[in-house]
Order: sequence, then structure tokens, then C-alpha cells
Amino acid sequence: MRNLIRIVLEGAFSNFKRIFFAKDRVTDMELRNAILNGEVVPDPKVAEKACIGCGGCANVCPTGAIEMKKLNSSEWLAVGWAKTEIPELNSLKCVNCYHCHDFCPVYALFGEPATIHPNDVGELEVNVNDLIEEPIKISEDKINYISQYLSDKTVLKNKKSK
Amino acid sequence: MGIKSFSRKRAIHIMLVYTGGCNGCDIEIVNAVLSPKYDIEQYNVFLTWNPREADILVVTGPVTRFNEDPLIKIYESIPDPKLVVAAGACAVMGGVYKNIHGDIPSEEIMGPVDNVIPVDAKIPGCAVRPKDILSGVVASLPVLLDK
Repeated sequence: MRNLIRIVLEGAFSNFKRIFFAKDRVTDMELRNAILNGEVVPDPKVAEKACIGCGGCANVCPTGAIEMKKLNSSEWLAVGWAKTEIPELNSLKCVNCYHCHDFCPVYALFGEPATIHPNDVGELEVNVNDLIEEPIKISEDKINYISQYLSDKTVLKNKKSK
Repeated sequence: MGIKSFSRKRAIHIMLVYTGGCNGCDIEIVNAVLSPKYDIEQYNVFLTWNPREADILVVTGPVTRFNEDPLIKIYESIPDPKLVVAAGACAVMGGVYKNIHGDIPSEEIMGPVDNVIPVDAKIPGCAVRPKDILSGVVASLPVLLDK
């Protein structure tokens, strides 16, 4: 009998906590508030700072969803190379084939997270000026395959120094 | 506020129609509706299978030739006011199925949904993000209630 009363009281107490103090709640309250206030914006698809502006993603995109848009002021990256444009991804045309992600030289040549991603590029901390000086460590035929889509081949200048 | 709009505000029903494709978006949408984390029912939005009680029609997939007539029938049997949401890359622009035979024109894909029925909202993504579905549906509720 005492056990029974204990079970009833414990159940009542845990239900009290659930109802009045929202214990065990799994709903994402941050997301709920953001949705009700209309603050949800699409995730960023392009990391504008880490991008090297080679135009490979726009050339390789099978649906033409990526357009290169001109920067207001071009940025010096390395000798003989300035970043003048960055890609812009139109999600309504994108089929998420990840070609842009896989062809991005920052990912394909240097092994860092790609600066374009069809879903969410995330936060990148890549120093582009240092990255370009690093030697490339992938096979020759793969480099040739990637380089046919690049509009600026300066990124391949260190390929012999491996 | 009439009884109709009063009660509609408390129970928006969405109906999910699958028209070909890979089912990824259906899984994502049903998870967004039912799972405790995203939980669309907290915004008074419910899932239904009956077109006569639905307010929002959510279409996923490129519309195959086999599915075109059923989709139009479902669309016509939903009472006004109604909204149509095309969810996922296939429903928005044909996705990977649009050019399924390469350069040879395909008679099997009638989509995207825009070609078959009028679309009010488009949600891109492959598969669609639950966050996008939720914010899209919740943002379209005032549109539906004012219609």
C-alpha cells in the first residue's frame, strides 16, 4: 500500500514538472521563437571570405544555378591573381548534385572545407593567401580533370612542387 | 470572425501528395510534421490524408505521367481557399528526373508541378530542410486565413 502511494505521488510530481516547468521537453524552443517572429533565413551557401573566385563551380554546375557576381572591390590573393567575383547560388535551380562542392579547388586541391555547399556552407576559417602557396598533393589526371573547369589556372601553379 | 475562419485558424490541415521521385522529401516532411523536435502541431498544423478537409496541398516529386490525373483530381477536390506548396528540387524544377533520358525528350515526366497545377510557394532543397518547411508553412498561414 505504501509503495502504491509512493508510485502515485511520484507520477503526479513528474507530471506536475512536465506541465508547469516543461521538463523532458525536446521541442527546439529557439527554432520555435525564430519561426513565430519570422526570423528564419536560408542558410548561407557561399563562404564569401574563403572563396578564391576561380569560377569553377559556375562552370561545372549542370543546371546553371550558380552565377558569378562581381565584387565591388577586387581582392589581392597571390602574385598575378586577384579575386574579382564570387559565386551566387540560386536554390530554386539547384538539384543538390554537389558538383560545385566537389570541384571547389579549396576542397579538391587543398583538402579544406569547400567554400560553396548547396545546403549550408557552415563557418570556415581559411586563410586564402597562405592556402594558395601550399603544394598540391593529388594525382596528375585528377588535377587535369578539375583544371578544365577552372577559369583561372593560377591555383595550379604549385602543382610541380609536391 | 466567422465560425469557419475561427475553426480553420485552430486546425490547418496539410495533405502530402507524392508524385514520383525518391521519397526523401516525404520522409523529411512527415518527420518535420510528427517528430517531437520540430513538431508542426504546436502551430496548429495537422497532417491529413483526406483532400476534402485539407487546406494546404504539399506536392513532392516531379509529376510523372501516371500521376498527373490523380494530382489534378486531388487539387480540384480540395475546397477553397487552398494553397499549393511545391517541396523539394524535383517539384520546383524537375530535379534529377527532368533530364532522365539525357538529351532525348522524356514523355514520362510532366513536371515540375508548376506545369500541372498553380503553385503558391516553392521550397527548394534536396531533400528539403525541416526548418525551411516549418518557416514556409507558418509564414503562409496568414495568406491562407486572409484569402
